[in-house]
Amino acid sequence: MEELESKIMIEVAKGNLSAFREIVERYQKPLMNFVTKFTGNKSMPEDIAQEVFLRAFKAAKDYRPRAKFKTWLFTIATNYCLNEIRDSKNSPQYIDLFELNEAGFLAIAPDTYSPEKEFEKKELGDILRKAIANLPEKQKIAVLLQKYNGFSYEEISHIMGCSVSAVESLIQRARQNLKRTLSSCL
Amino acid sequence: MDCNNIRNKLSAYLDDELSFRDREVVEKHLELCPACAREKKSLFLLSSLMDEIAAEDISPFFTEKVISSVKTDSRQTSKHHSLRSALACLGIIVLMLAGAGIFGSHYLNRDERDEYAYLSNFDDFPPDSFSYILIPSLRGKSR
Repeated sequence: MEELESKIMIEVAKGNLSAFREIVERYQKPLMNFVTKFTGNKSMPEDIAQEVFLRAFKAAKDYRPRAKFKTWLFTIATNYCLNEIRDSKNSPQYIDLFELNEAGFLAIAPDTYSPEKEFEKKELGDILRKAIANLPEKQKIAVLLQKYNGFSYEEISHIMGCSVSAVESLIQRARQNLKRTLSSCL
Repeated sequence: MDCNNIRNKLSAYLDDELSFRDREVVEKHLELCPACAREKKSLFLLSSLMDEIAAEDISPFFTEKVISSVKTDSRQTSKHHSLRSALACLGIIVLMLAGAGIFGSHYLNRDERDEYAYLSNFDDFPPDSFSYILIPSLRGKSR
């Protein structure tokens, strides 16, 4: 898999668009998951993911096969999110705590199906999305990379440029913050 | 380890990131401490809830959008390159012309300067001397 991706990236570096199309098709889902949850914004994530892919295409000549491609791509995405998005209008809006108090939290109990519970579940999912988007940036990136993209703590430390123990602490604090936000159902 | 230390390790425990030894220590503590066991359960529930929102919608045209943006960007980049190359060539031509101008004017002026130098040097000689013979020939050369 990694060897194949290295070969594809050599082609991408030469400007081969069919090879790049393959990369986009492979990684659009995980990247969109990351970006959507990072911004907490439903309307812009595709533009952001598109920009990340464009940057990856431009930087293809700098890619070295010794780095895992997915780690390399998410390093670009993380840097973009940290350096570019936080200063723009796409920054997540702060969560409305009143909205949290108004929400129903029963959906978490994994028992029988009912439309009401499905509705509550969806509502809770929306609130969780907002709570994630509202986390401090580094906590958010660490937890998203771990939870939704399957990176190990060590890989996250490479992406974020920090130690493994710092990643462990970021993820722990992120979960504590999310738990506090959703405390009435957990 | 006390409860605080164990709780700080719970995320890594759930993510399977602990060493075998730390994992054993956490598990033994959880068996004996109901408060930490509850904390672990709530983190596990949070994790399950996070799994529920794993997938995000993506436009079926996303790939085409990306490829088209790459094409547009490449076109713009090559335009910039052409413009930059043209400006560089123009700069070189201007520099060459300026250099040729300075060089030419320097050498043309030198002939005149040399002539005057000869004249001023030889004017000091009395008539019928060596300069009298040379000056007409120099004048003839300058014409």
